[in-house]
Amino acid sequence: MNILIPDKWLREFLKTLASPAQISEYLSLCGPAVERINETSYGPVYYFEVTTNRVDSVSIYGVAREAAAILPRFGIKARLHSVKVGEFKFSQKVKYLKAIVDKKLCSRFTAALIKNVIIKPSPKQIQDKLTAVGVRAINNVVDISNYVMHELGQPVHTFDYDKIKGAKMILRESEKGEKITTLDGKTYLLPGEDIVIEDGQKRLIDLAGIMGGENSAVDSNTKNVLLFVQTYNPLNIRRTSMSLAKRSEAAVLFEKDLDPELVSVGIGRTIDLFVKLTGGVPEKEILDFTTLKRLQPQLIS
Amino acid sequence: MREEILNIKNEALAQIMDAKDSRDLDSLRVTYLGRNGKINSLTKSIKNLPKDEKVSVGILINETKTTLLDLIAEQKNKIQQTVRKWFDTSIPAIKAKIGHLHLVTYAIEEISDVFTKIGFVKVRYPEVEWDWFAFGSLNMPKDHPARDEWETFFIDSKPHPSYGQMILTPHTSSGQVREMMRVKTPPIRMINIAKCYRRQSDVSHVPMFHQFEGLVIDKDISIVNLKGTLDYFAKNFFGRQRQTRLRPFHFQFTEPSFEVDITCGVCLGKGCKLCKAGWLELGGAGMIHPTVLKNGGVDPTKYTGFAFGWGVERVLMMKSGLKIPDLRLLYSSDLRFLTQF
Repeated sequence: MNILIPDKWLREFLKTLASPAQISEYLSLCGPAVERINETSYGPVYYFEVTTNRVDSVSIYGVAREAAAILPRFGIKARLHSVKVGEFKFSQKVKYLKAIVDKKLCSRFTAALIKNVIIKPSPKQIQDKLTAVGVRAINNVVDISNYVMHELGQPVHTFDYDKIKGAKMILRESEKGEKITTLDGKTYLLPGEDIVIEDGQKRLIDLAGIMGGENSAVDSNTKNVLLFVQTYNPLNIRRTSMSLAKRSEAAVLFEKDLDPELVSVGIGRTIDLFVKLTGGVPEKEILDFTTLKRLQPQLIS
Repeated sequence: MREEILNIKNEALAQIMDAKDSRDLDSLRVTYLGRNGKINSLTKSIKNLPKDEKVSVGILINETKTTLLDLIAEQKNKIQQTVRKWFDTSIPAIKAKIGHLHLVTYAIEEISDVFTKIGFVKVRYPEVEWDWFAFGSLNMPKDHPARDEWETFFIDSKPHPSYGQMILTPHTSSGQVREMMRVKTPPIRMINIAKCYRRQSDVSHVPMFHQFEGLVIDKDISIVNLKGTLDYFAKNFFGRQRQTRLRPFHFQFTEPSFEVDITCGVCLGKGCKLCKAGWLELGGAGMIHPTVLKNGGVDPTKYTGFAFGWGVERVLMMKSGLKIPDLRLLYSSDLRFLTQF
């Protein structure tokens, strides 16, 4: 997997005096390899090749974490700045959404409601950063999803909350022959065993992990946005993505088994950005289901 | 019009048959077939004909032209043969053109030589392969995302009951498990050089290319042996002063996995315009994954091994310093290119 990492953005998480040339050389020797450095109006941008087994480094934060571990081995001081997110309450039950989730398909499920969002273009600073990583800026809501995905390596989806009928979601396996129109306007006949989300009126509103449904997409009239951050069963994602030949950035990440712990940081970061860029007001509680069991450290010798 | 053509034709034929020497023939050629010759003036008058006649008259004129040309040539040969009274049989003949081997074939021979000297056995395994040997046995089950790295051609044919779908092998690593199955008990020292196929075609990729794969399995084989073998190859193939280095990488079928770099031939590792930082990428290598050994019927608790697989075209370019603007030129069968080697 190849990714663009702007030097300036990287240094938001990486405190070091290492020059871009040093970062490029030492990281290439030990971990993600730098194919080349592009000089852009946003400063130097590294073009990294990350091997498929290291989906944890396919992001700006991920590369910063690698750099913080690698650079000191070459006698260069480097410190990782963790992602700062606000305090949130995670809860298994919330008033704004009733969700039934097949735990086999989804190892971590979080959602949060943000009310009174104002959709407008993002500030120039955000647009510049997105351009530097090869993404076209569209509007603040879409830009935030892309921003978080490139910064943390966690895909984020946004629903227009008012288009989810009955404020209800069922995350389940699809049946062969079910139909969905994704937000790029294309209609697919599903091969079966795909992860889909159905709303209170039994409409399919999301081809989970791959692309959102057209009928629930955020548009210029959207007021209330439901943020959606999860990790899915990588096998289902891979199969659907390959058989529909739909290789979205999200699918390419999800099929490599993302860390469920990244979800909490991801949704926290997204909420913070929504407050800052859209003027929206988040609900107090984040809906959170998980099959994740945190292992206690064991002394083995 | 038709009659006129036939008259001119008969007249010309008679005169050509009567010609005594090649000078006569040349002047006849000019008279009839020259730019202002009789035939050409007929051609010019075609445009005045009614539409439906144009085609048939055109054909007739062309036929006349070729008949006359052939006859002139024939007559010329006849005259020359009768003129030649004495023939010097000692004049060296014009040599028949013989070709030479393709430059990739030369590279394959050279690579084989380097490895057979240290006890590697050269083998070749099928180009049309089963999924199991190319992917499954190499720790890449169906639906594994690592398969994306190989743009594979699938063959529309009945799948094998246990080996799966039929494909064109995208790498020589498909020979690893086959070699283990053939030899059964290590030691194994294999060099597999074969054609590989991937669905890619641009200035730096050809859909059919060659790889060479080294495989060593024995007791107590370690990274040291791998590094030693790579250094031996680098020094013997590229030159004494060259060095190699290993960088961590990932393949499903080796653990740990490496990418192998070699010092640049121009600056010898100091860094220059050509290589940027003194090193050039050669290809992949690693210690064979225990699962792969198991799939080949080799006990991973007793034996260990290493493998490497590199592109023949790549090392050829690096060795010769050839700067081919488009790699596809190698297989274009263009003699203007091939005769330069």
